[in-house]
Amino acid sequence: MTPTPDLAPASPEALPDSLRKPVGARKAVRPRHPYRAALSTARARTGLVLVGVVVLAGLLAPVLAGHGPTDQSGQSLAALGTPGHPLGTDDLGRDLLSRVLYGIRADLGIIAIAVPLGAALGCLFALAAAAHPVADTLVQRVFDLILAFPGLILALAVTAILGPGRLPVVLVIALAEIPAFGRLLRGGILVQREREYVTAARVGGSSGPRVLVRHILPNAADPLIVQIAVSLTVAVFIEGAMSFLGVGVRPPEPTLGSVLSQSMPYLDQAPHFAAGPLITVTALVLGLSLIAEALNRETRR
Amino acid sequence: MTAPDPASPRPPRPLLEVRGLGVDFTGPDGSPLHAVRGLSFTLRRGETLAVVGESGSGKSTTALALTRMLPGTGRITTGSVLLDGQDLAAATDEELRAVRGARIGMIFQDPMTALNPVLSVGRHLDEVLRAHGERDRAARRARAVDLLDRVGIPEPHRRIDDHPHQFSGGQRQRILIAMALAGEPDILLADEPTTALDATVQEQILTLLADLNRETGTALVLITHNMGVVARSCARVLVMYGGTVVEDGPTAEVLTRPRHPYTAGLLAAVPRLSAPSGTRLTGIPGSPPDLALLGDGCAFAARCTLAEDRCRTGTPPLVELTDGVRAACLPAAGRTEPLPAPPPPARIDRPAPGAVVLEAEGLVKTYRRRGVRGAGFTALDRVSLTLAEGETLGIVGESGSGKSTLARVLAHAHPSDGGTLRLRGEDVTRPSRRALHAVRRQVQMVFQDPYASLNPRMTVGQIVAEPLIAFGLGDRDERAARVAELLTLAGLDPAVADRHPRAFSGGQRQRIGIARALAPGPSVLICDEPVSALDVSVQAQIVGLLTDLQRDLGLALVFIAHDLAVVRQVSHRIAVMHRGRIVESGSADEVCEHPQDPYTRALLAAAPEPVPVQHTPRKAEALA
Repeated sequence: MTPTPDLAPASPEALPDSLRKPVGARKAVRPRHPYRAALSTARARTGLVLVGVVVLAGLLAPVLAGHGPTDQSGQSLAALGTPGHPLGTDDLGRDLLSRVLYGIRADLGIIAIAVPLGAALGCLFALAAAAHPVADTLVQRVFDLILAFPGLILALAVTAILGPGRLPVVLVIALAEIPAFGRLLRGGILVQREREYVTAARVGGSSGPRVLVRHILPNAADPLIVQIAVSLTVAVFIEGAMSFLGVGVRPPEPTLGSVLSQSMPYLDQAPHFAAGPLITVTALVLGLSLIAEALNRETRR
Repeated sequence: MTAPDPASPRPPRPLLEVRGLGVDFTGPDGSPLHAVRGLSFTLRRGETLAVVGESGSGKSTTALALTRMLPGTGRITTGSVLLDGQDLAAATDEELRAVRGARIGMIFQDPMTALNPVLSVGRHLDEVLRAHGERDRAARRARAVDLLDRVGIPEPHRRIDDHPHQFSGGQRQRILIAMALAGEPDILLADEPTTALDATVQEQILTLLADLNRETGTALVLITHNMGVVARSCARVLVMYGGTVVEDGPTAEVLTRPRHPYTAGLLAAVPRLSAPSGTRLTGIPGSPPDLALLGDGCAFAARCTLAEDRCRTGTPPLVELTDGVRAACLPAAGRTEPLPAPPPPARIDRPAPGAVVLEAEGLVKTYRRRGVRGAGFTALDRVSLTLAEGETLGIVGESGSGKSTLARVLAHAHPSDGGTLRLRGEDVTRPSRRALHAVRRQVQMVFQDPYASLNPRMTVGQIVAEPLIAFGLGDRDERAARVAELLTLAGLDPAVADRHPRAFSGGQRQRIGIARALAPGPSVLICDEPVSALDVSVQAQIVGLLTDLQRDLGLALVFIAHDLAVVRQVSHRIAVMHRGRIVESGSADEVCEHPQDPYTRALLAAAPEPVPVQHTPRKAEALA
């Protein structure tokens, strides 16, 4: 009989070669980055296309539009497909296609500043809240205060102080977005701070700021990315509502909201007057919502 | 009345027969994961069957597949589950509902989350009883009181209207058992029913399950990873590995004379309470199989010392060997003599402990509830201890005994509320920021949960380098070299430094945690339950690694665990904690062999050992 090998070798030297080498990881199962994975879903792609088309239209407004946004022609309320005015003209004879395109441009300009501003302020508040319990209480009350005002009351109040124009719109949007970002980040920091790997980092000698920047924030940031997409949607609505109420960007400069607002009295005679801004806002909001939802699903896995 | 089929005198049909069951999940990349492969077993009426295996062995998936309660993408791909001849794998949802609860009752692992906190216990039972067709409200209530009494809830008529939070963990598990029994099932399926419970409570629940089996004739299928629990409660055992049964036979036979090398390795890996301090645990080399990578051949071949070439190509069938044992192992099938016994556990030659490094005196830690004035919860009550160079101090206790708090106070993760802490004679109770930084270079910590304690966003290299950066040790190149050295020291391939923690198994992650703790070159390592989340076969590797590191680096170790057997083997001295106090301390062997405190004695009595037991009434050590 051949000697039987021992079941459990007493020393590592008795191990067969295949078992003696140091333990490696499994085959490379490095999953793709969650954001990239999220953006390659059908949902997100649809959203990206919708948003992309709108953004492109806005950027190329000077090229695509046949007229200046405030140029008046003799024809008012021209119908769809009128030569030279594919979307017709408004009550003052201005080309609707040009006004919608420049309106997109104006809207994008506003939300591209307002949302990052709101996000940055919200995150600053959240960091202050995470730093000290007293600051936390104060910040929480500030958020409550902002949220206590319905969006439009806030808009009217700011406009009453600053007068109508582009700046109040930007400020109102930024203000309205602060609590959403602030609360999300504050919550994320509080949750991550109790995680064991954060304790491990502190025991490992990492300083407070380093623990925050290197360990807590990257893990608390996921909901913020989703929130940005949501906030952009909200911002489009706020701008539209403010212009609609006449407290937004000053006429004659077009925005999506102001074009829609002007179309109101003519809805029976010229329904196509409202169609341009309506379709654009719908496409933009739908696209952003799809992207937000795709990001949300992927990061929550 | 229909009489039972009197026709032919066939052998009695088994209550449950599983034939060639296969369960697949869909992996994140869309490829199938074979969680269960070609699984077959039978269960007779009134039998007690243990299904034992480590994580990923498919034991829980099997339990869920029996009543088709598979989560997520899980689906039965092959085979049948015959309950009295009815195939549950092919049954309609309607038919399955009639089986769940009424014929197969289930109990799950976590009694804390399995009860709805807003419903009283009576309502929970009432709902189950109504679902089983009891119309009369008063009768349901009477039956509910009965059931609570049956599972040993004292004063059931008074407690029936209490809510889940008013019961302890053990009592909640009893209530869940009562709910599972409400439909008078033929089979009670218990998936790790005692894993979340303390040893002394585990003992009571296992006794209850055994009593119920004896008195009501309900067959018991107990799914567990714990060989001690198997020995304690089941007459037959099914050993699973890599999604299939590798051994099946009478418990006494399998425990004393395992036929499959995996079973033998698993049994050898279980720490025994009787093994003296300084004994090396025997593990199984390698790590549990990755279900995505399983190909043809025996799943255990990669870790098996008996493996031959044919093991790697053909799947071994489960064949009948002697004494009613079946095993799926090609080399074992041809053997006539028993498997060679594992070598007697080796003694570790450890140098005698040196000078005292860490000294704690009268440590106090109180958690105040927010907004509540007055006394809070005392987690540490005047705890004193000393720790010498090259010494291991084992700290044992059940959940809530304060052992984790002690670990965190010793590692300066939480401040203490009283007492003094000295490191090499220097008072470090309330260190300044700079002193704390210096203390942390000396005192490092290994955490319980290897999943939660590694930052998921960082690569292994970054994780291990983090303390080096924090302490300003070396430039970029020196750090990279040191990381490679640390990974090697912890038994990992340095090439894995650019992977993320999720690519590693539990034991490998714990090695990463150890490499990180060693990075600043500490002299004290606080290990808070370092092996509690690991499989038995891997536990021995990590314990061995810690012991080797202690010998090579002269580390002083605080080793915290709830398993006395592990603690005895690795520790020079043991301190037993109960309700925030150290109730007993002394040399490891002394504490285990001549326990002085009644609590220590209860803890020792409750530890389940993987040796066959006679099912006779045991004298229960009463707990204070």
